[in-house]
Amino acid sequence: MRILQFYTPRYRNLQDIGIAFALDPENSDDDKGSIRFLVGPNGSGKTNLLKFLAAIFAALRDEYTGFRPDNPAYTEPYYLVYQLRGNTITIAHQGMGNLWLRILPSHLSTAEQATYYVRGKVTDAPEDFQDGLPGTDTLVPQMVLIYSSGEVKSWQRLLNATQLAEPRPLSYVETIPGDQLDPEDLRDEEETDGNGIRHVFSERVLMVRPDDLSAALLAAFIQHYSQRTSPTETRFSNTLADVQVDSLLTFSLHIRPPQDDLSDFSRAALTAIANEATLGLKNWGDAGEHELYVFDVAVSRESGDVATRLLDRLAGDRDGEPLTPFQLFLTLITLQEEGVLQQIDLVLNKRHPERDDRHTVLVTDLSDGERALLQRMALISLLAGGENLFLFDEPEVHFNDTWKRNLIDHIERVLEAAQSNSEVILTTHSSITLTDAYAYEVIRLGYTGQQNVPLTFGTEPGEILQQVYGARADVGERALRKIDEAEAAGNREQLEELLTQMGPGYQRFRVVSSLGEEGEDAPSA
Amino acid sequence: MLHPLDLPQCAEQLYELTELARLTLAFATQSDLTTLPQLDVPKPHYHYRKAVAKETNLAEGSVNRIWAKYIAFMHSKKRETAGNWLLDQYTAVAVPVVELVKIPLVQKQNPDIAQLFAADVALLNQLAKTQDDLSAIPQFHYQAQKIAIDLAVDKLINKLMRNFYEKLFRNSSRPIRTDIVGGTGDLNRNVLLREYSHLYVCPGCDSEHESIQDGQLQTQADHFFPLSRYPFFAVHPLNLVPYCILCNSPLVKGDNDIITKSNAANLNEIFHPFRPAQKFVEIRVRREPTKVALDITDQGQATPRMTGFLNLLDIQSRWEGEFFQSHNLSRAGNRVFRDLKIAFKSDRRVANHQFQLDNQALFERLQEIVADSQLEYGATPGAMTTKAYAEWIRDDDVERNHLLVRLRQYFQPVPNTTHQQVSQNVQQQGRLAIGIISTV
Repeated sequence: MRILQFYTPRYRNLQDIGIAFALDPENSDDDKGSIRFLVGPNGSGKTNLLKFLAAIFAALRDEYTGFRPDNPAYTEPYYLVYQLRGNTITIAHQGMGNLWLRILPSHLSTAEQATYYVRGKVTDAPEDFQDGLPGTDTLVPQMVLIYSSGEVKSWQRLLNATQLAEPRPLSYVETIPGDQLDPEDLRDEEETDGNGIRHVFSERVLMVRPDDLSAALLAAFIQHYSQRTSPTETRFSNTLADVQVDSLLTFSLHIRPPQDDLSDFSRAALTAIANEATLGLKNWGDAGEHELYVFDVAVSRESGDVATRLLDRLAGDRDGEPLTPFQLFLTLITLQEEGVLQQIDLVLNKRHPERDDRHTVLVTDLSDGERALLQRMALISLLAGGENLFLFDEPEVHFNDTWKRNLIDHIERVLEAAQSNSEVILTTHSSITLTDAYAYEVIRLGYTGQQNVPLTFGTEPGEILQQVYGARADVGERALRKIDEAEAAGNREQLEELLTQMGPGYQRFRVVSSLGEEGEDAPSA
Repeated sequence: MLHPLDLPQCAEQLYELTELARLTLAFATQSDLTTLPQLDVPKPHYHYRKAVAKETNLAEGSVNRIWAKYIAFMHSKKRETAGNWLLDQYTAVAVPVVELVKIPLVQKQNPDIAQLFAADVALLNQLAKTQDDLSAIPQFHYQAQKIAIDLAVDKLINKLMRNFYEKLFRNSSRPIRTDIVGGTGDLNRNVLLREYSHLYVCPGCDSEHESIQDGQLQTQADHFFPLSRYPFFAVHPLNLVPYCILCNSPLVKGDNDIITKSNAANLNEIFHPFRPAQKFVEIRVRREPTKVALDITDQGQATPRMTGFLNLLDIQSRWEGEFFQSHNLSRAGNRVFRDLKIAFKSDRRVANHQFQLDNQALFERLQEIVADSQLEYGATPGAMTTKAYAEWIRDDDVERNHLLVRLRQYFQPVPNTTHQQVSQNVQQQGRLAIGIISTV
């Protein structure tokens, strides 16, 4: 999966902006995972770009059925080029669901061998075209996963518009020009086979809500403890060391007893959970209406550890294959969506950073930063193999600088370990994160369009701060103002006073040089 | 030697101390036990008498006689306080004085050593202060007469003078009292060094002068004319110069003497710390196949005095070490590079990251560095080599281009990405594809 080019004439602050995700699309190698860094000043359209991309894949996932006014992929024209499963796909959407697309197998070099599809009324449509759209397995990656540390509601509105797919009033249908669809077709068909597992695990555009993060954390722990994952596959232990967590002791699931409208899939999953729990309590909660299932991770039975058995059991009657931890994550959030799973509690064994003593804590008792690190890294650890698209909006918020340093390394190692050719696009405001980025990986948005990027890889963060983020200096404004004032006034004493407070760096060097230039006497040590 | 020095404020006290040394030596070399009458003077302290007698193998009575005579001698020079005090320093002064007196006058062969002393000091003053023709004075008197003096006597003279420096002057716990040498405060070596502690550049070699390190004075007081050969200059202010640790180390200067056989005939052919070489030194840089070499000349000439200066402090190889060694910029080069970095960095800020780093800009900046370093002689370490380096680069097209490449690598590491251009193509293609425009 690799996004190559994007253009939209108008969407919020993306006004007539073409964006080159890859400098040389002809030679881009889609067999490897890649990371793209989206940078730019606040209000330059980074988040809107991510939203538009997510909206496009949500619309393609729904095969442009119906009309969703909240989704810009239906309302706004756009042009998108990306590589997926060996094809280079070009989509030109002219608005109102009218689009043409070209599918060119990447190993072929001639444009004549491309296949064209046209949907609706399209101006300048290619002559040799097929009517309608190819299947979602050609157009949509297995998973589009979105995580935003910012405001979530606008994302949900955008994506729910496509996911829920309620039948619309006819007035909407009439606005689709030349559409011959029967209103009956707008009703989503449930794609299920027997117990509904295929539906849950099929292609989807998934927005990770804050509630889902504890499920991700649990899944990452299960992956960590499962016998089937080799140590190289899980980079989670590094993260655990960062927050001084030794191990997961216990976890518990709050379950609202199943109602009649429960899907087959959830019913099967619930049965598996109830059977594998170390302890099951009925009549839990304030009104006694809940059930609580406790899993003691330390307990190991003959049939294997809790983690492995849970994955096996949840696989149900799917032949052979156990669940991957990522599928476990999907299972858990499906249960949450259906209102069955109310709460997930994890009890951790945490070490004091300096003293040699350990205590048990709930995840909810960790500090904001620690919890954020654990949960986001857990999410990243779950990045499964295959071709997926991951959109992260400022994943390093709440992180301290040391953790920011580790973020990209962690993502890349996870991708490499899973031999994934997924694409990760993340927005960032951190100079430290950018020191990990090759210049061709950085997409820098200005207010008037995409801009060139100075070299960032292995560069001093101070330089990045100035050159990429346009800061006036590599130090804070207060320090700069004090130094400037003292220097302008030629106040030696004040400069020397400041010098006693300054650590190494360009500014210190500057003060030392100006002290040396001004006075006849050399500065004494 | 290289940079001009000011006489220290305690110079008067040092002259006084030198004079005391001269008087003490005069007494010791003009007396022997047979010429000493019994005098009615106060006896020295018992412990002192015992100690000196034991060390010099004399009867306590003889020590009493020598001491009484010495006080009387100093008294005749109106320096009785100093006499008392000096003889109290029994290990430093009394023992060698008594030892010298023990030797009969005949055996000392009696060259007028005190007169040699006075003449040598006078010559040193002249050497340091004037540019007069010194060719008439062939050598320092003591050096010239040395063969004529008995070896045992010479050894004692050296010991006595060395003790003036090491036991009296260098002793930081017992400074020399003001009432002995005059002036406004007690005197010892730290007092002298503190006066030179403002020096940022070593006057000998133009490198950093690490005068204070870990709160302790690190400057070395070097005997410019080595103590072993010129004992009369042991505590002479013109001979005690502040050199850096490296210059003063036995590996570099040690006991080397700037006066050699080749220039002994003409003392104009030496540089002295108070007759500095700074304005005569010219440095030319040239590239050799394996290194960068320096031609250090006396205003374009290879003169004996420049050779003597270079040899004394091993300047040639030390300065060459500051230049390219197998294509690595070292100290002098880095200093220029650093100056350029600051200059361009500030330019860049002004021009909002847009500045031209071309041959012309580099030439102008080098021109400024040449002028600046000329002014910084003696104030900034390495200013002389920096100037030479900057001149070399400025005038040598090949070297300047080489530096330009390096600077570009630093300041413009970017062949900037072509994101902007590609994104404009994307914009065109996108407009065409979605039918906003029909032709490109």
